[in-house]
Amino acid sequence: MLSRRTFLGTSVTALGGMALGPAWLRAAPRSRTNALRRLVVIELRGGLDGLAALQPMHDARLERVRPTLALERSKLLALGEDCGLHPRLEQLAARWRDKQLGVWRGVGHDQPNLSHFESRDYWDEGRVTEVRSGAGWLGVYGEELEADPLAMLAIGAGSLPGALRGRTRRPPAVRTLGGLSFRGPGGARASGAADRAAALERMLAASSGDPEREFFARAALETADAGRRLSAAEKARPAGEWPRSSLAADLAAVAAVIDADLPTRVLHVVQNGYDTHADQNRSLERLLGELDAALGAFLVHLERSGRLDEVLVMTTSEFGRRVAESGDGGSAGTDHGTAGVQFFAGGRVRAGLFGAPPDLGRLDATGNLAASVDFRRLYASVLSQWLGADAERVLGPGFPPEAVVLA
Amino acid sequence: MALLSAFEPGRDGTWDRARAAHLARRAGFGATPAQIDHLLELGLDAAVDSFVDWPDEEPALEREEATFGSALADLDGMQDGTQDAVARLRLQWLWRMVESAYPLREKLCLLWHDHFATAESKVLRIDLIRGQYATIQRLCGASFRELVGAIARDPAMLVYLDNRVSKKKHPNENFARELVELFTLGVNRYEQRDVAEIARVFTGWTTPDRNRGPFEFDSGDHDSNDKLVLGQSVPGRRGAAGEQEGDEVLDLLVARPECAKFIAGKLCAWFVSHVPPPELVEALAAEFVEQRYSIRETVRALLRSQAFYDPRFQFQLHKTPVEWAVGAARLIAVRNVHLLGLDQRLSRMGMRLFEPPSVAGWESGRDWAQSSQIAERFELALAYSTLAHSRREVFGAPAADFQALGTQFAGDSAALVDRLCAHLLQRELAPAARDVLVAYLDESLPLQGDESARERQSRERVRAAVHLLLCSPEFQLA
Repeated sequence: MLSRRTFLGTSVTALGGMALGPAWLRAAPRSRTNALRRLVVIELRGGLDGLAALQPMHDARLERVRPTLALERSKLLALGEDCGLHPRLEQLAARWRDKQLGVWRGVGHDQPNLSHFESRDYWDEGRVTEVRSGAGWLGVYGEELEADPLAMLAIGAGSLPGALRGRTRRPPAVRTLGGLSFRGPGGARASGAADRAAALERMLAASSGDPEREFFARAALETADAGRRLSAAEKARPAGEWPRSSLAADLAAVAAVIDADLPTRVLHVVQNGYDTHADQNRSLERLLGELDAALGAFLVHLERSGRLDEVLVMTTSEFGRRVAESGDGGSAGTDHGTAGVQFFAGGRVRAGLFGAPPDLGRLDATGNLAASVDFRRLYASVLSQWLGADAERVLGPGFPPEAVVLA
Repeated sequence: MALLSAFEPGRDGTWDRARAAHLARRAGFGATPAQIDHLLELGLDAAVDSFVDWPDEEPALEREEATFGSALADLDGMQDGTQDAVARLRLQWLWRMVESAYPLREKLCLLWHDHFATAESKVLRIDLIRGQYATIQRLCGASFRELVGAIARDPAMLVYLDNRVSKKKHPNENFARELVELFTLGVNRYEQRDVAEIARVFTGWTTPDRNRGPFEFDSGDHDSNDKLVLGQSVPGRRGAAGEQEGDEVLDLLVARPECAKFIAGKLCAWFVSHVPPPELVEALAAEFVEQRYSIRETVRALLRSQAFYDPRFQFQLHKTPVEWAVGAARLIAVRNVHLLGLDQRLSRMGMRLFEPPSVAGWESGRDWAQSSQIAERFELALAYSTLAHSRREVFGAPAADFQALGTQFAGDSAALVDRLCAHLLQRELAPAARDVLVAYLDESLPLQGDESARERQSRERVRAAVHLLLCSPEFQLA
C-alpha cells in the first residue's frame, strides 16, 4: 500500500523493502566471477567508406577510379597480403596483431538502398524490408532482459538510437551519466537542490489512487534509482587520461558503467560525420584518428581493469561508399554506396580478416560493390554466441550466425 | 446506456468544474480555473462548440505567428539548411499550440500528423514538410475522404512512401499497404493481393519535382488494366482518366464499415480512452457515417456524449510529450517557447514533430513512461517553474498571477498547494503526496528574515510547488 508508506529516499536498500521496489533492485550485485557479457556498439553515422578504412593494396583499378583519394601503399597498415588499414588506425592495427580485432569486409546485404534513412532502418532493425517497424534489433532483444531501466543504455546525443528502441521498452538515452538524475534549482551543488529532488521522490512514493497514477509513479521512481546508480558510477570513475573527443568522452562514460558493475548488457555510442561527399581524405584523417584514439583508450582501460574478456565492441555503419570518387581535386569525396567494413574488438573476439576482398571489376548498376557477408549473420552471432539470445526471434529465419566471437 | 447520446445536464449529472476541466484537457491542452469558469458559464453545448467551431482563419494569431517566425529566423545557430528550417517549423507549431484560442484544431493536427506519419529525414525538403502540415491544418476537421484524398496527393507522402516512383512496370506497394493498414482499414482487414491491386491503381500518382512538388498524374506510368480491390472491380482507364481510379479506390475504402470503425477507434483512443469500449467505437463509427465522414461533426458528437463524461475515463490518458509540454506552457503562461530549447527537449523526450519513429506514428499510453523521457520531462518542469510568468490572458481568460499567489498564501503552505492543484491539475493530489509537498514547503522553504528575503522566499515556494506538481503523476494524465 503505497499511500501508507513514507518513502525514505536515497538508498537502494530503502527502495528494496517496499512493495514498490521491483525484484531486480533487491537482487544482490553480481560478483566478478559471474560477470556479464556486454556489448558496446559504436555507430559510425553517415556511411563509413570501407575502401578507405581498409584499402586494397594491389588493385590498379582503385587508383584509376580514385585518383585523388587512394592512399600510397606504403602509408597503409598492412593486414596480410592484399589490404591495409587507414594509417590513422594504428591502435586497431596493433590489436589486430594481438588477435583482439576482427575485421569484416564486404558487409552488407543483397537489396542495397542508397538512402541514409532506409539503410539506417535496415541496420537498426536487422531487417531489410520496406516497412519500418519502429523496433530495433537490440531493442527487441532487450525486451527479454530483466526490467531494469539500465539493462541497455545509449550515451551521447540523448536521443534514442533506432537499434535500441524496443516494441514497448525505450532504454534510456543520456547525454552524460547524470542524465537520469532528478534535479533541483541551481544545479547539483546549489543548496536546496538535493532537498527538492528528495521531496520529488517522496511525493512520487506517496502517490497512489489508481493504476495509471501508480504506473507512472513507479516508472519515475525506477528512473530516480537508475539515475542514482549512474551518478555513483560517474563519481567512482578513476582519474585517467582519455583523448579529447566526444566519442572518447562517451566511451569513458561506458567504461565507468562497466567499472561500476551495473547490469547494463548493451551500451551504444555514436560517432557522426562519415557522410564524406567532399573533402573525404581530410575528414577521414580526423574521424578515423578520433575513433582509433577513443577505442584504443577504451580497450586499454578494459585491459587494465581485467575486463577485456567481458566486452565485445562492434562498429556499425549504414552503408559503405561509392567505389569511384566524385568531386574534383582537393574536395574529392564519395557518394552513398553499399557493402562496407565492420570492426569487432575485445578479448573474446574471433580475430582476423574476414569476408571476400572487394571486387572492383564487378560493380552493380550504381557503381557499387557486392556484399559478401550479410550483416544480419554478424548480428546473429552477436545475439546468439555472445549475448546468449534467440537470434531467430529477433532477426527472423535465414541468418545462420557467422561467428564474430570465439566459441 | 446509449453511449453516444448527448449528455444532458440535469438528467445525466451536472455541468460542473470536473466535467468542464475534462473537456478542456481532452479537447485542448487543459484550462486555468478562470477558463473553466468561462466554460461553465457557456453551458455544455456551447462549451463544446467553443472548441469545435474553430474559424478557418485566425488573423490575429497568424500575425503574431509571423512575428514569432521572423524572431526565430534571427536566433543564433539557426541557419537556412533544411534541418534548421524544420526545427523552426516545429517551434512555430509548438508556439501555435500554446497560443491558439482553438486548441482542438491543433490537437487534431497532431492526431492526423501521427496518423499520416511522415518523417522529414526521408522527405528531406522543407517545402514538402510545410506543405503537408498546411494540408493537415486546412483539412483536420474536414470530411475524412477529402483529407485522405489530399494526403494521397501530398508530395511529402508521395516521397515518404515511395509512390512517386511507383510505375506500371514496377509498382511500389509501400503506399498501398499503409493506405489500407494504417490510414483507412486497419491491420488484417485486407489481403496481400488487394495491396498489389491498389499499388497498380496508384501507379502514375507522382510529382515531377521531388524537391518542390506539386502532385501530378503521369498517365504514361499508369497501369491502365482492370483491377479488383476488396472484391470490387475497378475498371482500368487510359490517359488522364486513369487518375479517377485512385479516387474510386479511396471512395471504396472510406465507405467500408471497417474504415469507419478504424477512424472512430482512433478518435476514441485520442479523446476518450487508450482502450475504448467496443460499443462506443461502434456507435461513433455509425455517427461518422451519418455525418458523411465529417471529422468535425464526429468529434462534436463525441465531446457531447454521455460516454465522454463518464468518470471512469477521467485522468486515464497518458499525455504525450507534446501535450505535456504545451499543456504546462499554457497553464503557466509561458510565452517564448523557443528560448527553452523546447525543440531539443522534446526530441530527447522521444517526440520530435515531423520525425515520427515509423509510419505507424508515435507510441501512446503507458509506453511514454520511460526513464529518459521522465527525466527530461522533470527537467523541463524545473525550467518552466523558474520562468518569470507573464500575467497576460490566455485563451480568453487571465492566467494565474503566480507572484500574487505567493504573497496571498505566504504563511499557509497547504492553501498554496491546494490552490495550485486546482490550477494545474484540476484535481486533488493523492493525500499522502499532498502531505509530502506541504511538509517540504514548510521545512525546506520557510518564510523568514527581512521583507525582501521573505518576498524572495515566497516566490521560491510557488516555483517549488509548480515544479513538483508538474512532475506529479496527476499532471501526466489527462
